[in-house]
Amino acid sequence: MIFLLRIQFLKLKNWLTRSTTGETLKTGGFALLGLLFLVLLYFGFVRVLSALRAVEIIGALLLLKILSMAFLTTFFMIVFSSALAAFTTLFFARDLSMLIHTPLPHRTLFFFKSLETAVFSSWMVMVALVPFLGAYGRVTGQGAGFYFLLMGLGIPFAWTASALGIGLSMTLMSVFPARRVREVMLTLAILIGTGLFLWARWAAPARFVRADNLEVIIQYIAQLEAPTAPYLPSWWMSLAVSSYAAGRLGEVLSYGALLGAVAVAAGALLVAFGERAYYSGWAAAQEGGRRRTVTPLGREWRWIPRFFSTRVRALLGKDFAIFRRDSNQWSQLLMLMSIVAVYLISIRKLPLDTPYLRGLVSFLNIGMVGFVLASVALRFVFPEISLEGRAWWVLRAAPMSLWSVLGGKFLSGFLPLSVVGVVLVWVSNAFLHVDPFVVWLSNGTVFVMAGALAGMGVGFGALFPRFNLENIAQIQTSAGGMIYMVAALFYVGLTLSLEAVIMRLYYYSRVAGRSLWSWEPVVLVGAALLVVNLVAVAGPLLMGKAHLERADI
Amino acid sequence: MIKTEGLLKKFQDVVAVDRLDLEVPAGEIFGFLGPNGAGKTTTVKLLTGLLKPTAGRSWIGGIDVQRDPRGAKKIMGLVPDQPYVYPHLTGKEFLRFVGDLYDVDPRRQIKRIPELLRMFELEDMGDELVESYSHGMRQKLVLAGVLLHEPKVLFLDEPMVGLDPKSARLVKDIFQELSKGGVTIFMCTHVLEIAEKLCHRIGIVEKGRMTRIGTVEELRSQSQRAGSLEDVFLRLTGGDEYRALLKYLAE
Repeated sequence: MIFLLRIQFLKLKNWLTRSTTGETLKTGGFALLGLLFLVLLYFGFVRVLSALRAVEIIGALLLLKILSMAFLTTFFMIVFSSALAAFTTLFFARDLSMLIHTPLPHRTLFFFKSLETAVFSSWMVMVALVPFLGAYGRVTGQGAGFYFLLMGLGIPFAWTASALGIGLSMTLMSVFPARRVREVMLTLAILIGTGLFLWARWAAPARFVRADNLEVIIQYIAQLEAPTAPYLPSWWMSLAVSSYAAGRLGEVLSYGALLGAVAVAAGALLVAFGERAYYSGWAAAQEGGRRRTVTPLGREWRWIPRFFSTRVRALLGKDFAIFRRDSNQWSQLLMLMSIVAVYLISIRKLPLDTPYLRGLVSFLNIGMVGFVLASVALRFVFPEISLEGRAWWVLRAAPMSLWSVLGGKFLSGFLPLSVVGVVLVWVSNAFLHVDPFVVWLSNGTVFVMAGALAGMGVGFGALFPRFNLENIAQIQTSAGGMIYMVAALFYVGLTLSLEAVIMRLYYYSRVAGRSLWSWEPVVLVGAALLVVNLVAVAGPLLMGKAHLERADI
Repeated sequence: MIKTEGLLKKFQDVVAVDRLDLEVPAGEIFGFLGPNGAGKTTTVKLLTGLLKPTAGRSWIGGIDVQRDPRGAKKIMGLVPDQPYVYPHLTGKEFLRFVGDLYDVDPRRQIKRIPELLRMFELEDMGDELVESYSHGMRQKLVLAGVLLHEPKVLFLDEPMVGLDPKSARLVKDIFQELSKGGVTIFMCTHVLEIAEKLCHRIGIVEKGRMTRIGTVEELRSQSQRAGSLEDVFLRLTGGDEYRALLKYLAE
């Protein structure tokens, strides 16, 4: 075990000490940007949580509810990202064929690989929780002990979620015969959909905001007091944290002990399971299957319009063929469809009785669709260059410019992204019964956003390519993926704040019953949007192209 | 057909290719030999436009690789040391993809692809996904892809690795036929017997510098010792230490 940990330590040390000055500056600069984003989130949460805490009688309950929702969401995210990552790390990782033939006991190897899976599938989710918890600590006036408590409890919490996810993967690999990865992935995607449904049911965000719809306030309080998934570690974590904030140390200890004990038990069960099933699962996964697919020669990319050049058609056709045959990709797609469905259902259930509220939500909806598109692009567009993998030489050796390659990738990202965005905004607008002006504004904005986010996805993907990674989840959660997401969210936020000027003019005109439009703010906002979009697309693409030209791949 | 002047590639402080001056005429099979880490693959990457040189210039068929990489790439083909291709494409789809990237007329592709698959004994595997191909089959598929666009210059990095004796013989015959037809072949290899039998001239590279160049006979006379190319190579690259290694293993 120490031997394996030492390898990881050496990998980290080499990465830190052998980076060139340029690489260090690039990583450092973008890390700073990420930090800035987290700080902004922190201040946003401080405002929201302070406002909630100030609500009389139910302020403390509201905080607990919000806390439990955050932990429940985090818990589910870690479970599923661990389940997806475990397929690669435990069964298909390249170093396994070497490690499994060393005299290392399989139990040790399995435990080490499980730890590795847990760390890399939970670190980003846990980091995303930091601004929220920091804000919670500040609003409830906590000292340093609170943060030590969070660190202490966070480890068993994340480990339990990961162990559950890894166990899920192991079970699926044991149930299905050798290398039925497609079936395993499909089952997993269905499980994830079910998980999302359970999340929506337990966290019940719609009921949470519908205070006006509950007939009596007592019912509302009962709703707030009801535990959120009481048998999951997320609820114990919420109670331990809120008990500490309220000074009830006895409860902190008991919930902390419960979390720790469950984490140890989950680890022991996982290792016992691994000892029985891991080696046979790994061996079965190595048996290659044969897959035939017959397409008449010359008709491979016939469905791609001929107005694209031969090379672009070949690039699009190749990417599509790989996409539909890569089970990793469509498990991601199914998961995404579940998220979209949950989002649309939530929009439909929102109580929007006043035109003001409806207008506000329909405007914020543009931002939410932008957020969904950014997440879709992180899953499908950002990894596109990295997914060329070791076959990248095929494109580099071909007589085409890097712009053609990046252009092909942009198109294969932009086309589906714009369809998803426009459909999503169209359906949500129909649910919200918004005005035609907002319909056109939101559709136009989302269409442009799809282009900018696709460009940013390809650009950042080229700037931070990970040709050696085998798994989309690893590519997404790499530092480059995080940087892309921060930049994408910043772009969406900036677009939304610029368009707020237009929306305000529109609503003021409606309320006043006369036109308050003037050309100056419209032109200024239009020009600012143009600059923002140009910078958002051209910046990452230019940097990404330059990086690919220099890189020795 | 291949020309370099002072070609230099540095990775930070490490000099991978050190001011390489080289000229290979049309139709020649040029062997590029050297110990591991000598800079052979980096040289191929520089000549095929996969890497930008730190200094110096190179021309393929008179086209400046740095100034007009697309023009140069149109007339060359590359077989890298590791034949990685897209595992989720079928063999035929991969060849179609390559054909379209090199702008080969679709009618020509439809005629040539089955011929190439037959030639490399891959016709039964053409509709199978590449993920089920063995290393040697992937190597042959990449070779078929390279021949599809009929290049004037071929860069081959260890082309025989993973091939069974029958395929290796076939590939050797193909290279000789191509050379007779005027195609220039630049080949890195560790299989010295193949270099000896196939290459018209051989260059020996050490620590990024080309230390010797000539026919096998010329290299023999330079090393002042008769024998196989292996003996000459070991002598020229100071590889006689292998005797020390044998002594160590025997202890």
